[in-house]
Amino acid sequence: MTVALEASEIRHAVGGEDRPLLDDVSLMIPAGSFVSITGRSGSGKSTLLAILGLLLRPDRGTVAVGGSTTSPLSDAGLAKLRGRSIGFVFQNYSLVRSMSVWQNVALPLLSNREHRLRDHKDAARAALGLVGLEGRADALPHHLSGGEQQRAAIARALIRGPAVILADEPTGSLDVATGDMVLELLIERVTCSSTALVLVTHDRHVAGRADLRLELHDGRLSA
Amino acid sequence: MRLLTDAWRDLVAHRGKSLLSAISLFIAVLSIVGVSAAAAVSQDAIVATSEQESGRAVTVEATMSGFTLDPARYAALDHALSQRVGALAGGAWAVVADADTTVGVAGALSNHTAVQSVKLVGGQLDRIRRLPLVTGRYLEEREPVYPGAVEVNESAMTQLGPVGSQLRVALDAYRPPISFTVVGVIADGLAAPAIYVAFGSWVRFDPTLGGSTSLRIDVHSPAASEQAIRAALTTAIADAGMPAAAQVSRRDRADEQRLSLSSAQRAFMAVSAITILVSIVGMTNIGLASVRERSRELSVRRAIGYSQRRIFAVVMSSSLLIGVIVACLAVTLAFVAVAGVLPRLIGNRLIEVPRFPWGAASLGLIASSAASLLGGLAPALAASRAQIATALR
Repeated sequence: MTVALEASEIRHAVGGEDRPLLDDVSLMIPAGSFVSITGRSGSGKSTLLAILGLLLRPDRGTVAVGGSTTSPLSDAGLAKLRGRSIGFVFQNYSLVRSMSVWQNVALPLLSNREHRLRDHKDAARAALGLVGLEGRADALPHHLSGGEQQRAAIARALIRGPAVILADEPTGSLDVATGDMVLELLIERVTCSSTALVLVTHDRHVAGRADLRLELHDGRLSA
Repeated sequence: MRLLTDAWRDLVAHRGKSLLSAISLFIAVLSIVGVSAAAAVSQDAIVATSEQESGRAVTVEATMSGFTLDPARYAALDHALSQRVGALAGGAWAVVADADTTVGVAGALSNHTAVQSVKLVGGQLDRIRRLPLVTGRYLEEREPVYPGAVEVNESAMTQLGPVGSQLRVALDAYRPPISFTVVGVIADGLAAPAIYVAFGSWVRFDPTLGGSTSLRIDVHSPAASEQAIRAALTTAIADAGMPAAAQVSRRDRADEQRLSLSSAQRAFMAVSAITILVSIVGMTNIGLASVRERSRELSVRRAIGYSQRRIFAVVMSSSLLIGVIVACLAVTLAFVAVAGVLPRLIGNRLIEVPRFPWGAASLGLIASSAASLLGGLAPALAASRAQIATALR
């Protein structure tokens, strides 16, 4: 079994509190799996996702991506690894309003040299094709519906073929039907590739679709 | 290239804020480019006018009167000046006599036309004063005796006719008119009509010239000191056996005017420097406000693979792009003003229109780039230090 992402004995406190928000949290995410994390508001779900996504260094513990520990990496090293191996999908899409859809999707390509500049638009169109938005490449984000914006955000997460997609309440801002469509899309991408999906949600129905369901309670993770 | 593309997209994506920064900087850079271009161009134009009217730096004049300048004495003066002034680096001399009374110039034989000024000229006046040639040629150092040659200014040309016209010139009512041919039209900076007669030709016909005629000898060298020029001039006068000059003084005014212009330029540049400082503060404020507004976007960029250094570089490059664009606009505007408007303002004076001072363009580009980098520094630092974990909340 190939491990996409692994966290070991993560401990993290916020705001100088004695009691840690995350206490001795360990999890292993196999390649191509769908893992959901649920928990009450303030339970530390987003903090755990930030640590898994290498956006935040834990007070203690290690995170390994593709078997390599990330602790010794510098900010630039973490950024490079993040860009190459991790895709993010946020609740509120986080598209740059004044950039076209394809420019938003191609944004991760600008920080690396894997693609030539002139190929960016084609790569973005290909990623948009995966989410059924190839015809909206030149539109501005605010001309898209909420569901379309989230699909564009998924295309942005997929464009570099990440090992894992970290999604924080990706259906939280959408109506039930659109949310279901976006969720299906994410699951489909996981099914037809080796990309793992870690999804943080309040919605037990959404969490119920996962291969592995985890719950964060009192700083600890349980299945 | 990748960074510039990223910076350009960033600039376009936030064009409102970019435009505000650009306007703030544009005013300051235009002021820098404008002041230095205007100073260079005015210096060129004012110095050109000064050189046209008074002579190039360094020119020393000796004035004398109360003697008769017959052909032999003129030949001796010519010889002495050629010897003494010829020893100076780039030395040139001219003998100029302004006739006290001008009776007239007869064009087309008998049509009597008043001319305000008749100047007898020997030597190389055009090497001492900036006298652009409109048509024809300059007077030679030693013109043939007959037919004599004259140059006229533009005003006189409209009265007397173009190159090739025959003139009959008389200095006063008691002297017979002498025939001359117009060989050239020069721009001498005078609004009134003036004709320049070859001295050597005149004294052959009128050996009694002198007495009531005042004489001026100009000596110029671009490389010799004023003292050396004075010495050459007074020695040449003595060598020619002429009485000592009544007055020997510096004639050109170009250096004085340069000095006065550079003082004014320094004052304007100080004001421009203050506007640059204000624009840096403005850009910093606008940039910081923009970073605050874009904190989520910047966090998302970090999340998708941008390092702190990359975010810093993108913001700085965007700022630098604003600076370069602004400098190009300011230089273009200044260029249009100098190349398009200036010839219309000074073209009728026949001074060579000054070229656009590219030094001013370089200064504008440097000032604009430096200001945009300084103005972008604090926002770029703030952007690179954004708390990226907030992107997930």
